[in-house]
Amino acid sequence: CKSEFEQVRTSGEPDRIYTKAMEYYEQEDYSKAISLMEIILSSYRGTAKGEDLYFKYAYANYNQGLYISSANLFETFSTSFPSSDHREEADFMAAYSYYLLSPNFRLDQQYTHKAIDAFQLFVNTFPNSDKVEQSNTLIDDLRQKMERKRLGEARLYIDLQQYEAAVQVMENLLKDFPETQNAEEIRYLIVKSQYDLAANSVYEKQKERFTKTNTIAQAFIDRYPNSGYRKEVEKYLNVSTTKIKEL
Amino acid sequence: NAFSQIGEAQEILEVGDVNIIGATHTDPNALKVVSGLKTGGKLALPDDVQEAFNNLWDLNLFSDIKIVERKRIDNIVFIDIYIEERPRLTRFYFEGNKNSRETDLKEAVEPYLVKGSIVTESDLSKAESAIKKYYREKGFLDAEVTIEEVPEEKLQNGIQIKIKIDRKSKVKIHDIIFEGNTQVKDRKLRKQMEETKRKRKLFSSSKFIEDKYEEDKEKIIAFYQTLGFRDARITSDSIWRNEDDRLMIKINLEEGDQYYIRDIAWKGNTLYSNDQLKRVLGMKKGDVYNLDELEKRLSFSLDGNDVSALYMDDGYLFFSAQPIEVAVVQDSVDIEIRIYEGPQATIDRVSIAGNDRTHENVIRRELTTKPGQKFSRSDIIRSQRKVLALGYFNQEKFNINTPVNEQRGTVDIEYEVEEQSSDQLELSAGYQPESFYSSGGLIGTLGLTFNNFSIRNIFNREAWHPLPTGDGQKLSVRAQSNGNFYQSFNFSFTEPWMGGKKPNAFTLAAYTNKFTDIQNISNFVRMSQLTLGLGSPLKWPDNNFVINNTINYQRIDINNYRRNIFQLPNGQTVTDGLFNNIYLESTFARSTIYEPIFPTEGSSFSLSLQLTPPYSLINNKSYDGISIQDKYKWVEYHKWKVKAEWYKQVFGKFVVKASAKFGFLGYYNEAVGDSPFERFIFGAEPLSNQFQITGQEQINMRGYEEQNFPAVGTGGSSIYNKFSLELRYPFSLNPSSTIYVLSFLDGGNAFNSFDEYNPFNIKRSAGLGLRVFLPMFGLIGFDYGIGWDKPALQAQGAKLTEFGKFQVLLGFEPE
Repeated sequence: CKSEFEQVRTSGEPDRIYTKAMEYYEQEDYSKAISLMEIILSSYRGTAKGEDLYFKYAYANYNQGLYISSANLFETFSTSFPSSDHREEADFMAAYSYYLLSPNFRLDQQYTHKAIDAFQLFVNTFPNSDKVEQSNTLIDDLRQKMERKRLGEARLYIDLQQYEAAVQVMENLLKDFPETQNAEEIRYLIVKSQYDLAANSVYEKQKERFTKTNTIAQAFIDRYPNSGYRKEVEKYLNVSTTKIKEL
Repeated sequence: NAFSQIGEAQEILEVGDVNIIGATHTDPNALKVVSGLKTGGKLALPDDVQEAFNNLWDLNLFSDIKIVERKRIDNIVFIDIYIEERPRLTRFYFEGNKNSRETDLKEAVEPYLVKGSIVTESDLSKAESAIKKYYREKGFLDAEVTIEEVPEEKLQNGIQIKIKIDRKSKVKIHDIIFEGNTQVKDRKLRKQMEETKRKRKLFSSSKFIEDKYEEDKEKIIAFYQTLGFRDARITSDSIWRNEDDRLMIKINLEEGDQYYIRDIAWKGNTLYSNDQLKRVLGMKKGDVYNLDELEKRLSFSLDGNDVSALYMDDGYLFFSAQPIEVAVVQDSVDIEIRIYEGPQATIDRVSIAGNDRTHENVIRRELTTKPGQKFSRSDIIRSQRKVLALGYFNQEKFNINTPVNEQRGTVDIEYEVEEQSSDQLELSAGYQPESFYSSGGLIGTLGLTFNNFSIRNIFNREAWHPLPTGDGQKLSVRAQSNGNFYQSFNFSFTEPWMGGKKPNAFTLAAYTNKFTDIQNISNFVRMSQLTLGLGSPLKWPDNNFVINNTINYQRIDINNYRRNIFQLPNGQTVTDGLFNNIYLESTFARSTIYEPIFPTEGSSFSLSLQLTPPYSLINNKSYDGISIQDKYKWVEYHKWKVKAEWYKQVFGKFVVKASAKFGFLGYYNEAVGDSPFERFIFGAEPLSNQFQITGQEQINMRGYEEQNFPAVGTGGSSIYNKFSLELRYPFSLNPSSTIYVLSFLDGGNAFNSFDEYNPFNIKRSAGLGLRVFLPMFGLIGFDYGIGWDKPALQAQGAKLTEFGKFQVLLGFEPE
């Protein structure tokens, strides 16, 4: 004996499936709602209920935690129903789905990039939306995560005593994240890494590398005269000055 | 008037209203939403109209759409959208095909016949040609396809598509005829045509696929060019059916002259001299002019040993080498190779993508390509090998991109990985009823190994999917039971990069196992051990050395257990007592073996020293006439082991393995003498990891048994040496099943003191073996060895077969 869900699912009658799907959706039984909606999406294309059905289908996926699907569906909704009243919401939800997919900074960040792009597009398309502020906050959040990943990369190279790589990563970090809150700390780490690189170099490279240490240490002191790192940077400055003379 | 005819410049207007005409099965209001045109909304011409048209068209419901300006008042436009509806496809089905083809056929037509969408004439003809193409590729050149539309009974505005197929019989190629070839035989030319073959043998495949035929023709010309026929060409070709309806192919050729290289000149090279480049190129004056080979030797050599590799390996990524024919005189060609060396590229960024479980630092620390360094291809290859060796990623999906920035002279390196599971589960269970041989109980094994564990995420609930993963740590737990007879629990944890700065492998391991007398379960021997270890790579004497130090506590609890597991050198069995074996073990090793399953080259060497504290030298205790339990309560000994292995590919796929092993167990104090533990059981049966007895060392000797070595008779020997020579031949090196056979020559012996020790006094054996590695099962192996130095058999005139011994290996190669 088939369950009611199974009977409806195999009935082949779009109207019956539609009614039942909406019922499951209201009851928040999204898994069943999704199974039924999938069947009838194409038969309702171009009808009065088609738009609403598609929107709810996207939400059902979202509520079920299927964020990869919901991101796609909300995006498709916006392109398929460009003058819909729900378009603003759909664009935001697409971005928000990507936001929820963005993992820990130690892992692959493709969804973080997608979320940033999607929120940016949302803010540009609907500059007057009441979700603009939230979107900007979330963009900042995601960019901070990207920045943290980059800093983690630099710290790994410092741990591995690969100072040249660490300097390169941090210089790129400052280029890519000009808004960073940690500029002072990063610039200090660059001076320190550059110093360690010079101190651990073969004789032929020491002069060139200490000269660079000297230059960036001086630049650091000029830029942050009251920095808490000043003492240490001055030490690097002095040592490198002496070394340059010796060499 | 249609909008498309309106001027090119962008016009911003306002929409008065939108009227949909022709919608009987679709809803006009819904169509308006889809079109994006809203009453009162803005209308940018012609973009918005184009977009409205595209959106409606994408619905796939109409065979025709027209968007028309009904009227215009000032800048307010009134729009009519005319649509022509078509019935929607409810299903399609095939007739006349074989069932086995159904899935393939569906796949072929699905891009054109979409359920719920309309079907146009063009879709139908595309579907038809897709089916024909499918059959043509199978050799059915004459397949006929007819498509019928059948109205749907249940649904108004719905149709079914019936696809009738008559594939007719397969068309085979009867013959391929060449004309005009004087220098190369027909047979050689036919061989070049890899996809277009004559039907000759019963099981050979012969079919005609036009695209492949065209490719095969190009292959013939390419083949001529490799022979120096620079001007060879196909003047004409024809295809016809013979009287049996089979295909005939005729190809007319013009071979032209065979050319030779008269001179090779280099231009633009500053880093390498002409001689150096010439040596790598490996082509010289007087060689047949083979352009294909020349280009290969410049840039695309399969062995990676070409001119461009010479530069690329060193970071000259913008390098190019262009061979130019500067003069062609009669049958001689002068070549000038124009080289652009460019700047040496520096690595700007190194990125990793696709790691959705493994933490980035676990991958990045393996990479030898680092930002700021000069680019080197060999570094990339090395990095790839190291990352794949982690075992976390799919080998086939591993990808490396190296986008270059020519202006800045930099290159980025992007590693793309795809995660695969590296965890292992071992599970077996059964119940044994009570019997004479067993007191009954649960029999089984439960083992779990997580190779990419993350201990710091153990309290982070979000990281549990299904277990905390990503830090590259290894955690393994195993429980095993054979009723009351044997029970064992194992635990081990390894962090390969303790502290995150160097690959210092930290290990914490523990086990406990218990053997019980079958008849009396209160008689048992239980061994438990706790091990802490740290392995570090060394920079001296070279980078291939590692040192591994462990500190161990082993406790052996024997309770009225009368089987002779542990014996004193005088033959007395240790039946009772609690013994503590505390030792440090240091292993100093070097290995250059990079293929774990079937090494073809490299060597390994290890020296290990195992020491307990010398209690008897400190404690002033008298060992005269005290009980075994008292004497060995704190076990003391020093143990030395040396192992060396060497592999070399000798001829063809044959590989020679040579190995030598030596072990020595000594004591600090003559009053205490040899320990009953840690001895070498030479000639032991090769065990699987079932019922592993610890506290002694088992060494297998093919062709022999323990009883053949008198020194082992009393609970193991104190010295052994073993030498082995193998010749191996691989049948399959496929990672999904590696199979090889081997023949061996072994020699070895066991001794109880250095007075007796003589490395030349060995017992010898020879034989054959087979090894099979399957990813799920690990190793399965068989050896048959003939040990002709068996003392018992030497005396009698025994038959050869009585010297033989067959053994099975499970899980791992025995010592």
